[in-house]
Amino acid sequence: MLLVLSDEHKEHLGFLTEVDTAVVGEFGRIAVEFLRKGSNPKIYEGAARKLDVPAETVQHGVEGLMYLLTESSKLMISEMDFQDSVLVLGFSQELNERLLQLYLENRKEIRQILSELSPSLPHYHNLEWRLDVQLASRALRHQVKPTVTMKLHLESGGIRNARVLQTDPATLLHLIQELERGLAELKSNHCRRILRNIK
Amino acid sequence: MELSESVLKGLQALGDPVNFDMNKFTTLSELAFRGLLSSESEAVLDHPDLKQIDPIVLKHCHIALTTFILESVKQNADKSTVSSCLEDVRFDTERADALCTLYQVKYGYLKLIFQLCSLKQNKTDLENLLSSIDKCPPHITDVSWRLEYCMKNAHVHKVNQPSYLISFSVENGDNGRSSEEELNFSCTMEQLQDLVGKMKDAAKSIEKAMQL
Amino acid sequence: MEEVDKILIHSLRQTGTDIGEDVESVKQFSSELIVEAVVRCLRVIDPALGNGLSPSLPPGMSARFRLGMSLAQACQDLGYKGEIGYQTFLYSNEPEIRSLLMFLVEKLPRESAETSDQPAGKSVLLQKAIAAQIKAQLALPWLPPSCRLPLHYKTQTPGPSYSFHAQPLSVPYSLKGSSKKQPKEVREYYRDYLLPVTAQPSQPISVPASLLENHASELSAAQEWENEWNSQGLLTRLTPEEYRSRKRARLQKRIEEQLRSTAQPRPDSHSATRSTSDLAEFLNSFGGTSAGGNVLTKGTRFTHTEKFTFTQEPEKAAQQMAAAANSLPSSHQSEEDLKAQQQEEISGLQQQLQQLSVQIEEVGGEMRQLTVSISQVSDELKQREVRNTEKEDSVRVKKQTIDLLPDAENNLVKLQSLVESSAKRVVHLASQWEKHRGPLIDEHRRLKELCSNKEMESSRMLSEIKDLHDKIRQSADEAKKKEGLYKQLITEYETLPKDVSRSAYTMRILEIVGNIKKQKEEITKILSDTKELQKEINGLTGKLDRTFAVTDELVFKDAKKDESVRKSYKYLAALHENCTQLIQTIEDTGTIMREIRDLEEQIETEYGKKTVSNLEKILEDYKAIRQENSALAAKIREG
Repeated sequence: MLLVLSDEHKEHLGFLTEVDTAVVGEFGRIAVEFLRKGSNPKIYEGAARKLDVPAETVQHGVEGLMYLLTESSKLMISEMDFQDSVLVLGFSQELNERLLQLYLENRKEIRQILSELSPSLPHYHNLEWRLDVQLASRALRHQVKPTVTMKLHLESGGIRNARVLQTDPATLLHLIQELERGLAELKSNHCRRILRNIK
Repeated sequence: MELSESVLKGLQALGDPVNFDMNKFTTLSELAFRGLLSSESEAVLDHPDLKQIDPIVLKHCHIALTTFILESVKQNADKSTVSSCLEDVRFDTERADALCTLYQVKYGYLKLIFQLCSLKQNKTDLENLLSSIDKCPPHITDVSWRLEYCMKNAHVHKVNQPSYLISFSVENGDNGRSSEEELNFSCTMEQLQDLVGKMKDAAKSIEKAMQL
Repeated sequence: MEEVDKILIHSLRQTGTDIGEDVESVKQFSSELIVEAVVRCLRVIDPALGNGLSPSLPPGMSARFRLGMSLAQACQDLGYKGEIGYQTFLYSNEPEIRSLLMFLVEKLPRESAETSDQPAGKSVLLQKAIAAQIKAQLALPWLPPSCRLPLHYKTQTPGPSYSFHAQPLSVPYSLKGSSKKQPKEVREYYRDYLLPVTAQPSQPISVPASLLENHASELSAAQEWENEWNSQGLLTRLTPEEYRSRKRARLQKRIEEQLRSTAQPRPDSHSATRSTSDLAEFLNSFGGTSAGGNVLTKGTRFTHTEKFTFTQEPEKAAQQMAAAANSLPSSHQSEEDLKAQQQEEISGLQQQLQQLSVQIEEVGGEMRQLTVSISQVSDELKQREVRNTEKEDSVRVKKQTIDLLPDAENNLVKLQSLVESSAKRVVHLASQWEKHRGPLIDEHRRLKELCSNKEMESSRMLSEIKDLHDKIRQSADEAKKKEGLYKQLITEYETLPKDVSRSAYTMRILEIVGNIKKQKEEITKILSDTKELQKEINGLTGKLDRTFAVTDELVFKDAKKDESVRKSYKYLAALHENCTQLIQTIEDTGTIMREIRDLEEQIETEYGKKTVSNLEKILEDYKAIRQENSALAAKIREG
């Protein structure tokens, strides 16, 4: 699958042909850095002063690189496809190599960053439990009431919250049984076929 | 089982044949149980059998009997405890006409013991009533799960990862209203394995407790 | 032996030794099993001794040897008399092991009997109850929430839960006792209007909570009273009612003092005068009712405080109402007008307020001055009055002397005689007083003594009473404890398996005893038989000897005379000799037979000792030790 680049994008990246490959390498580093931590306009200005070009051009160049990297990472295109896609830009062979290197090196991390953007439900984080036996209450002495008290830690968008729940032994066994059925399902033929075929 | 003076006095009055003959006694003890277990308790003492009794004595006896019943259920008193407790009461009622009284009282209390102990239904109902006066965290009653295979989302394609959506049915009985609630969360296979492993640890500890 | 082995194996299993089902006699015990059995027994008998020993044989030969040695030492420490050493465990033979195990098992039961006398600990009982409960819960199958039966409701569903919400109840009796003192109105209320107690709380679920709480508070009040009465009340030697009323009076006095000290009329605060007057009134009423000592004092106090706090309110409210009423008709005026008017009014009022407060301050200052001057003036007045009376006294004395002056001589004599007679009278009175005083003092002393005696007596009685109280409480506690124990033991007894093989055991023992008796009888029979036989034999030998002697004599006599008889005498002697020889031989054969039997038995016992296999084992172990030693030596050399 090839990456289809818009004309505007091409134009923005065209700036890179005019500068040194070392500068492009630096731009690539900056682009990855920005993807990690967010952009910083001061760096554009500094670079623009050094290269004696408008800051906007530098910004377009870096952002073009960022877009290129994110798009290709998002689609998880192969090495060949990446090279073919970049070919359209008419960069030098060395520059292409550099970009490919950059892509391959950072693909995993960029996907990781991108996956954090996807909508997510509260997520399991941890479970604490203890076995309680209620022996008496204010209104009724001499009871024996075994319960399992659990603290379920959930994580949602970086915020953790915990819920205290309880259950009885019989239900606990049922829960385990049911969830194990769920785990076993993943190993069933049906699931394995799907896992194998959708790649 | 300890009883306060007023309760003892009430029970004594209850055992006094001048106030209560057998019929009235039975009626009152039935009413006492009913008053605790049913919600319409307004007209508890308006029974025709009890009309002739001095209302003050009647009310006092009713309180004493009800308290006695509650207290014996609360302490999980068995037959022997109840009867020894009542014997203590009876000792005080020995008077000039002891013979007659004794017989009546004995019979009456035997009946009461019978009511308390052999009518298991009454006791379990009362136990349930008392045990419901309690607070506990929400109770998990069931679980359902869904296995999903995420292929792509807006930001990342070819994710290709299985994930589970777990939904616990949680019941909360605060303030007498049982409310059902669903607790949803997602987890990966590893996380689910972790969850199940921890639950299994809990089950193991239960088993260990059972073996002792 | 089978019986003995069965009992041994049974008791060893009880100590926790893992003996296989197929092992039926001590003969089948392997070295490992022996070591385990002995160690388990030792652990039960003396934990300190047994815990240092491992119940399994270690792999190394030398370690095995050491274990055997320490086991032997431990057994000897316990008082085992028989021969014992490492070989007993490693190269076992049946009888030794049996006697050792029997010794250990005999040691066992006394220890465990002592522990079984104690009732099972509370924690054990609790754990058992918990285990039973969990078992019961797990025995019920899990059902989806919608199809649960009532019996699931206790465990698998929490059901509705309520908070413990107790409400005060109105009960038709007073805790302070006598209902005769109740006013008529209260009785009427109890009789006609008081709802049954189950209908009083606002929610039915509060009924049990309220009743339980009411009862608990009654109980705790009674308990507190009892404590106080036992610790302090008894010593005051008052009846409970008197003690109560005295305590109440004391408390009321304290409260009153406290209130008085805080409510001292302070002249500087103008507004305080009203409240202090209220308070004073309240204090008066307080003092008045305190004599009656009625519970209702509480009521009066509250009504008074209510009055005290709320009397100012209505006036203010009335003023506000009036102001509101004034402003109402003008509501049709425009907003601004209204505002301006209000502003004006407010400023006017504020001015007025300021003026008033200034005035109040002024007046207050004046009043302060005035009160100060009043007190000064009254002080002065008092001083003056005192001085006045003094002066009047001196004037009176002087006047009398002046009156007496004209007839001085006479008056002097008169005075002197008066003085003398007075002195006489004084002496007379003194003597009379002495006369009365003596017996009175004696009486007083006697009474004092009596009093102190009585006091001592009463304090002794008091302490006795206290002791009795303590004893009663202790006995009650003990009785309660014993009752609990009894109940627990009963339940335990009920849970115990009923088909204990006790009767079977006793039957067996009786049977064995019967067998032994029979055997004993047989043995005595045989013994008497043997004795009879011996006697017969002895008799026969005696007869033989005598016959021989007679014959010998007769034949010898004849032999002198007759040649043929001499020959026959010779034959006789030879016959006799041969016969004795024969008897000797038979006896010898008997002893040899007996010896043979002894030897055979010895051979049997030697066989029982598994000598051959043990020798082989010893050889192997010897080799193993040699190997270990050489390995160690090699290691040393390497090192």
